[in-house]
Amino acid sequence: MSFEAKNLRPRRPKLIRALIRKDARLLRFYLRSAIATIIACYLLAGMVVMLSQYQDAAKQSLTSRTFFTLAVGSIYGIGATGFFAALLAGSIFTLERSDRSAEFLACLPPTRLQNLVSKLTVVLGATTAMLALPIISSAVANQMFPYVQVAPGQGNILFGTLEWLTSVAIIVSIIGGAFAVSAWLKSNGVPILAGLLTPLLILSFVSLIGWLLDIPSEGNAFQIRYVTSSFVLGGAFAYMGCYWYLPRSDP
Amino acid sequence: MISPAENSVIEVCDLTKRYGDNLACNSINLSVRQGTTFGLLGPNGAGKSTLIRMLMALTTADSGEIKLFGEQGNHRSPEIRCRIGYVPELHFIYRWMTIKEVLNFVSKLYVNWDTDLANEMLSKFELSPKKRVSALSKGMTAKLGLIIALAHNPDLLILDEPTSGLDPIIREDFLESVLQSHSCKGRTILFSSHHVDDVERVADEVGILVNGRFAVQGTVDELRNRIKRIRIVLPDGKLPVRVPSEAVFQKLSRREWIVTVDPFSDALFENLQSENDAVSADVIELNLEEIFKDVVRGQKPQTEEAKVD
Repeated sequence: MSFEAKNLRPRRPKLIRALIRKDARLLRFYLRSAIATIIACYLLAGMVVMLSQYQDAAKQSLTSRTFFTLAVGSIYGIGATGFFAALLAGSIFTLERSDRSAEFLACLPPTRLQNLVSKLTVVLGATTAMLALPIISSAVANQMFPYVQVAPGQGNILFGTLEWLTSVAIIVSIIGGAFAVSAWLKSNGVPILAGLLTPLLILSFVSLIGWLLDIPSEGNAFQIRYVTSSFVLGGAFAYMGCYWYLPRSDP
Repeated sequence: MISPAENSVIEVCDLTKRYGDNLACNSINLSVRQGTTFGLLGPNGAGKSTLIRMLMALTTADSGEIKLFGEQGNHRSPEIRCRIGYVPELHFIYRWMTIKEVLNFVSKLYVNWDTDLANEMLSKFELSPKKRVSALSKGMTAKLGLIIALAHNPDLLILDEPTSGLDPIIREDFLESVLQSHSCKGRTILFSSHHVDDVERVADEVGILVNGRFAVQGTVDELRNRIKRIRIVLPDGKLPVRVPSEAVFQKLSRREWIVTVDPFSDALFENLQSENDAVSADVIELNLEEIFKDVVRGQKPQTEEAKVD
C-alpha cells in the first residue's frame, strides 16, 4: 500500500511555543498569585523590620532598613517559592485531567514528550524566575553588609552558599515529589501535599540512615548529606513522574 | 466483509478490546478505502466509540492490528495525526479559552492550517470569536469541534456520534458541512452514529456493529438488495417448519411469520413458501433503518412472544 508522502510534521519551535503559552495560561491564576506573593513577601519583610528585633538596627539609616528588608524578604521569598513550586508542579498535569481537556490535547498532533517538555519548561521556568528575586535581593544585601551596623547574631539572616544550595535542593525535592504523584492523579490536592512533604520525608530518611549507620555529623556534614540527597531523590522523583506520564493514556 | 483494498486508509484486522468481563470489540475487521464515507452504525454500547478511540490511539487494543495511512501500531505519529480530523461525541476543548484563542492555539500545531477556511466556517456557523468555550451551548461546541477538525484539511475525518444530542437545525448544518467537505476535498470519512438517517445520507458504505462485532457490512444499495423481509401467512394452527440459516431476525404473531434474511434469494423465498404451505407470502424491501433495527434485534435475546419454538 502506498500513500502520497506528505511533509506534515509540525514545526517544532512554533509548536513548543504554542504549548508553553497554553500551559502558562493554564497556570495563570497560580502564576499571578506567585507574583503577588513575592511582592507581599518584601512588604511583609519591611513591616517585620519596622516592628521587630531589627527595629533598632534598622532605624540607623536607609541603607540599614533596605539591607534588613532585602535579607528578610529573600527568606520569605524562598518559602513562598517552595510553596508555589508544589502548587505548579502538582497542578500542571492534573488541571488538564480534572476538566478532561487532556483528552482534547491527546487528539492533537503534539506528542506526549512535547507536552512534557512544555510543562517542565513552564514549571521550572516559573520556579527559577520566582527564585531569582530572593537570590538577587540576598546578593544585594550581601554587598550592603559591610556598610551596615548589625547587632551580634543578626548577621546570620544572610544566606551563604550552603544555605542557598539547601534552599534550591528543597525546591527540587518539592517539584520532584509533586511531579511524581501528579503523573498518576486527576486532582491536584494530593500532589501538592506530597510535594510539600517530600523535603520532610527526605530529612527523616537522611537522619535515619545517619543514625543507623552511625555516620558522623560534625560541622556541615549533615547539611551536605541532606542537600545531596534532596538533589538526587528530587531529581529521581521528577524523572519517575516524567517516566510515568509518557506512556499513560489520558482519557 | 469488505475485502482489504490497495488504497485502504483504515485497515483493522482482528481487533479485540476487553474492559474487565465486557468484550467491547470482538475480532473486528474493517477496511475503509480512500475517498469513501463509511457509516458505523450500532446501538449504545456496541463498541463504536471503543473502535474509534483505538483508531485515534486513545485506547490500546488487547490484540489485533490497526493501520492508518499504512502506518501500523498503537501510536499515531504527529504526521498521521495531522492527516486526521477527529470530532468526538463529547468535546473537552479548553473551557477557559475563547474561540479565537482555541483556534489560534490549534493553528500553531498544524502545518496546513487554513485560517481563511476557519474564519469562513466561523461566520457560517455564526460563532463569535470572543465567546468563551465555557459559554457555548452543546451545538455551538460541536460546531467549534468541526471547525478544529476540518480547518487543517485532513485526509481522514473521524466523527464519533457528532450529532448526538443536537437539535435538528444544528444537525442539518453539521451534516451539510461534512457532506460539503467530502464532495469538495474527496476526503475519507468514518462516521459513527445511531441516527440511521444521518448515516444513510452521508455514507457510501455501512457497517452495523452489534455486541462488539460487525453483524453486516457493505454499501447501502448492497445491503438493501441483500437483506429483505419475507412475510408469510401460515395455515391455521401451524408453526414455521424451520428457521432458515439466512435469518437475521424473525417474529411470529398469530398466523403471520415475518423473517428477515441475509442474503435474500428468490429460491429461498419459494422454498419457505412451499415448505410452510403458505396461505400468502410476500417480500418486503427494507430501508437502512429497518435493516438496522432487524439486525440489532436479531442479535439480542428475543422476547417470549417473538420466539418461535
